[in-house]
Amino acid sequence: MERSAIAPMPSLEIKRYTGIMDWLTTVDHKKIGLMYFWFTVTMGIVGGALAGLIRFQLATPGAVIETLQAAHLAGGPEPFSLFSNGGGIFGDQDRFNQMVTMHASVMIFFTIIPGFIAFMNYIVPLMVGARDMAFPKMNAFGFWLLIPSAMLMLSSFFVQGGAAASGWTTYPPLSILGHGTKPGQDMWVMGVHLAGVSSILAAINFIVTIASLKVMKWRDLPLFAWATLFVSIMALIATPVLAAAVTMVLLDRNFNTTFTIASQGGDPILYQHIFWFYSHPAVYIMILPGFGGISHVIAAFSRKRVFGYLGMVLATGSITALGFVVWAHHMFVVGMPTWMQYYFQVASLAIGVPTGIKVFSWLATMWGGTIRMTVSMMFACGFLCLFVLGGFGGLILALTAVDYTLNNTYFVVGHFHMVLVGGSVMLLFSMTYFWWPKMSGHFLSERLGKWVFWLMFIGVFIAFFAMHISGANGMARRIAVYYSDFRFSNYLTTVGYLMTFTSACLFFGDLIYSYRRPKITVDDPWQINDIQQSFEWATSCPPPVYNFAKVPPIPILEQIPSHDHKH
Amino acid sequence: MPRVMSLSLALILALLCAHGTAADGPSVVLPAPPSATSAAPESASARIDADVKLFNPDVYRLDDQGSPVFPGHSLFVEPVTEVARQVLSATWFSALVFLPFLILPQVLLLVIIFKFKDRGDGRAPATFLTHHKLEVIWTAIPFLAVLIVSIPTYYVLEFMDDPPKETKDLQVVTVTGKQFAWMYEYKRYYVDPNADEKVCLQSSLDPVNQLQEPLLLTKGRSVSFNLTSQDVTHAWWVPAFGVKKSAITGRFTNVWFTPDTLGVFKGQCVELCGDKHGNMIITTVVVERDEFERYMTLLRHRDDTVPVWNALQPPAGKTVPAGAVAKAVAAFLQKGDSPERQYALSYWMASNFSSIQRVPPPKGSSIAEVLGVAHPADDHLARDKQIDEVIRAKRKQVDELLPALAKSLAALPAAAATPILR
Amino acid sequence: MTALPTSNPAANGNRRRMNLFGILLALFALCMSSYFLIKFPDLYRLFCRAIGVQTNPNNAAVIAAPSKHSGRFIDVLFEGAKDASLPVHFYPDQPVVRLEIGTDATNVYHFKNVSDHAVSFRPVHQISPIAAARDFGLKLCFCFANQTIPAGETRDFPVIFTFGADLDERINTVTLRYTLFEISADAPLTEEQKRIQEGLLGPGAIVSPGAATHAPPAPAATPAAGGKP
Repeated sequence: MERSAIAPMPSLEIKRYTGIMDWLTTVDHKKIGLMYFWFTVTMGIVGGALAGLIRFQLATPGAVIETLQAAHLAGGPEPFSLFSNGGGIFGDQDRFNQMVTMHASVMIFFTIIPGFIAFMNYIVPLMVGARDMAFPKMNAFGFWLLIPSAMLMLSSFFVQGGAAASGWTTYPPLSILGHGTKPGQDMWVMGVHLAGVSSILAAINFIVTIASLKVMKWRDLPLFAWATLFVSIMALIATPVLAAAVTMVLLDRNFNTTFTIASQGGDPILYQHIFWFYSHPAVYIMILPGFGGISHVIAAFSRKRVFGYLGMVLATGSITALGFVVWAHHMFVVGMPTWMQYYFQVASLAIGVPTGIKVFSWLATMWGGTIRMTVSMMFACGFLCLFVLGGFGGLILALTAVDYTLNNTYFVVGHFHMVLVGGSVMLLFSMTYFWWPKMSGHFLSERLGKWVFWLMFIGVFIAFFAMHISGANGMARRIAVYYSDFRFSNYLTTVGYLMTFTSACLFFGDLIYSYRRPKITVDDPWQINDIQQSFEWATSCPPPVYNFAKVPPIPILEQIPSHDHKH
Repeated sequence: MPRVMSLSLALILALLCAHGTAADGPSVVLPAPPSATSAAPESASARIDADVKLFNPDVYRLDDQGSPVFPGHSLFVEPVTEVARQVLSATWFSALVFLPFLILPQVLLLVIIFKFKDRGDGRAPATFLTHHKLEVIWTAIPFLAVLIVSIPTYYVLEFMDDPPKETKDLQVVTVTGKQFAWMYEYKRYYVDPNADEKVCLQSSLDPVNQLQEPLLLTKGRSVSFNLTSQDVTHAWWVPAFGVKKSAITGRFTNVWFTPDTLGVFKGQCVELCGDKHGNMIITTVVVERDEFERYMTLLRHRDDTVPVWNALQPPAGKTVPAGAVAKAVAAFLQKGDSPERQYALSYWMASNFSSIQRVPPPKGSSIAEVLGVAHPADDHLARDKQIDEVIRAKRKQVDELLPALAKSLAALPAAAATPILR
Repeated sequence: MTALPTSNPAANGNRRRMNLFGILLALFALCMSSYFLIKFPDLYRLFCRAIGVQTNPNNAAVIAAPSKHSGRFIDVLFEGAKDASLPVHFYPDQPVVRLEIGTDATNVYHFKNVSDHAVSFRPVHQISPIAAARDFGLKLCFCFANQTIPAGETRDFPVIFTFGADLDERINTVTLRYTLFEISADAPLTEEQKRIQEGLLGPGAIVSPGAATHAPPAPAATPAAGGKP
């Protein structure tokens, strides 16, 4: 090996802990990345279980208004129900709202966002040729903030009045109710604050790492690093705004301020504008890193380099920029001036253009390649299929006039699950199958992986397509009881959920089992790096503490070939 | 003194009626409401039943097996307003324009997977990195599609957001959301048009069963909604009308539409508003103009009928003293015994009995127990029949009292028509 | 360690100075814009009006415009709402007022305190459809101040209002709603009320002299009358 000729990094003089203390005190971006990963996987299972309770409620006859009524008329026992005001197994309908709120919060703040941060943490410094993040201690601090944050949120189930029950959007005045007696909402707000601080710290770290520790020029930066950069900029700008919004709720609840209380001159809509100013970019925070990662996966398994590098970077950049100016499409029905609604409609539709560029560029990347259908690649293809489908629903929803009908229905729920589970989660799986050998030094099972993929793909499709049908037929979101018109589509969704959750559990088991598989001894287990020339495949699996003996470990790839560049 | 006389007369009458020996006056067929259009002569109670079915649509019914009867058609999707129709066509139009962007990537993906799959034949992968013309095309065409869709949807949006075009006979309704009911205030329809304080007719939770009452709309008449909220943010939505607006404290949002099909249209609150958010349903009934006016007349007298209902349907575990019903009816008629008022009393009794079947009875009991029907719960047909009989008997009790009492009250001197019973 | 892209120390220093300058400039701009927004809230209101969001009931231009018969009539519906716990009974004298656009119209709200103690409340004005707000001028209203009614007493508060000629031609029905919220007797005015009060008392008063004279004692017009029992 070329590397062996060079002297290894001198060992550090600092006394290092071993075992559990090593993990608790580590500032190594790889170990922190792994901890992020395991945190995410655990939280994903928790969030999925919460979703399961919601799905079981909605699949039982106890949720159908007509069957409830029939029981009343006949004097028979109430039909089986998890959450019902007449005494459900798990509590009343308020408990159901808590499940809805916490499912969303856990999935957004503790699964998808940190899930991508896990890969960003592990892979980006490797990719840009850095030995660690720019601020390793801050990196560790950011991760360890997530633990109390998650503990605050999840433990709020056990306080008086239960967890927050006003939806993850926490619209006042609903979220103001119960102040002083139901601390769940306050705990939720504090949890979001901690998660937000963690997110901001990570964002600063990534921006500085990429800007100052990269060994290549900007125009040769790998796409995943670009996506990380854009996402970090987004998180840095948007997250403080979320903090401001939830702080308003906290102050209104506890300190007699009146930001959102109409009788005192406040305005509930103010909160909604501020909240969505964060939460729309948050949608992209939850998918853009995956967009970057998938470019590597698709290129690697097509044995090609990614198509239209410049277009990809520009598209990511314009999604970032546009993401900040479309927030009000979440709140078309609050009564805004016509032209303003129209502006938000056109701007939202316009996001479809750069997204389309990315989709077509991925297809063009695959075109003409020799495609190896590994599980990672299957997830990438599944992502393309489901994401385009979910995006189509998004285009329809962006039309203000149509949104007057579909806003806050299951169509919206179906749409964002299709792009978050069919999109972000599929991306996370794809990236995991791709980079897990690098991160852990062990392969995941390709054979089991095919089961994981097909179960998830079909499950996600069934579950969330059926949600679109429920919504188009008139089912409102966040309801614990519904009209019988939606029985069938709700059964379907629950069936789809079961498949998805089974698949996730299989995957979880495989992750744990993978440590018992033989250790990978080569740098480039997928045998792709002759074309990709990505730094992370030019070091051992997992990489040593110092990442590379020599930086850059391999020649820097010129992303835009010079003849093309002049053009 | 006329007061004392009328009091004692009414009391005697009431007691007589309570013992089933009501003065056998001629069986008065209730006069048809002002704008009745019925061609064939109907019996009064059939008329009332028809009105109850119309104004208080009961979608929850049991079949022979005791399982719920689900509506055969969706109460939700069929558009019944111009607004909803325009939205639907805008949806299909945009879906059609965007369809290629849904189909093309999927087809390409399939083609690519099958065409370029590595079959181990040593085929070398292509090496192209960009294709400027292609990239321009797939930027420009989606952009064009966005433009194409944006133009017609603007007109739909404008149509929805602007005030209604036909405003000659606009019906204005103030809709107030509260946890967990809607309050509809029919503007320009007053409880007492001659009073100093003109209170608009309202319907919300019905006063006896605490069930959400339907909103009545007129076919072909534009309705303008002013939405606001008393507590938290709600949103009013009936899919068939194609409109949805948030009801927000401290704000007055506005929406309009013109229903053009008769029928019942369901909806629900679509902004999370608390634990019973899912139960916050909306029922709208689109009726003809004369039926609407009739309902307004009925609403006008509704509050006065509550004591009669309370006499008929005592709270669980309590009994009503003999003659209470007759006394309550007499009191009702004291305040006015016009035919429309009598009709209103009969109607509300029937309507309340219809509603009571939708109210969850106290825990552990059933509607049959509440009504005192002793019949095994597993024989639904017989039980339902018996419930029906009990309800009919109770209604008859009121209906029979009405003409006789009205007649005797009419015979009293005018001064006696002041309310003397409470 | 790798070499930084720019290895010339002089160039680096220059760049750093420029960066610092840029950051300071941005901070300064941020502080100034916040200061101006707080100091001159009218800037914000101008912005709101420019984008078509009329949040306050008073359009000064409509109020200042001379009375002019336009021959076009609209119906104005009045309504009121309150907290269930507020022991005040109130209703509009006329539930519907027919008004010629360009001229003033008057309605009176009758209030009665049905409790045995003085009650203070804050009336909040709402108008629908919102498109009418831009051309609506409220010359006199009890919502300009917080109100207090002594135990058992009644009050009649006039509302004098007008519509500008620019009102959308398709609007022929407007609804005005007043919602009463219970407050403590010494609760401060809201920003909006303060602004209106300043306008009332200072030069360029919003209430036209004509309106003020033919109004009854006008308890709403001055904060003192409304504030003390």
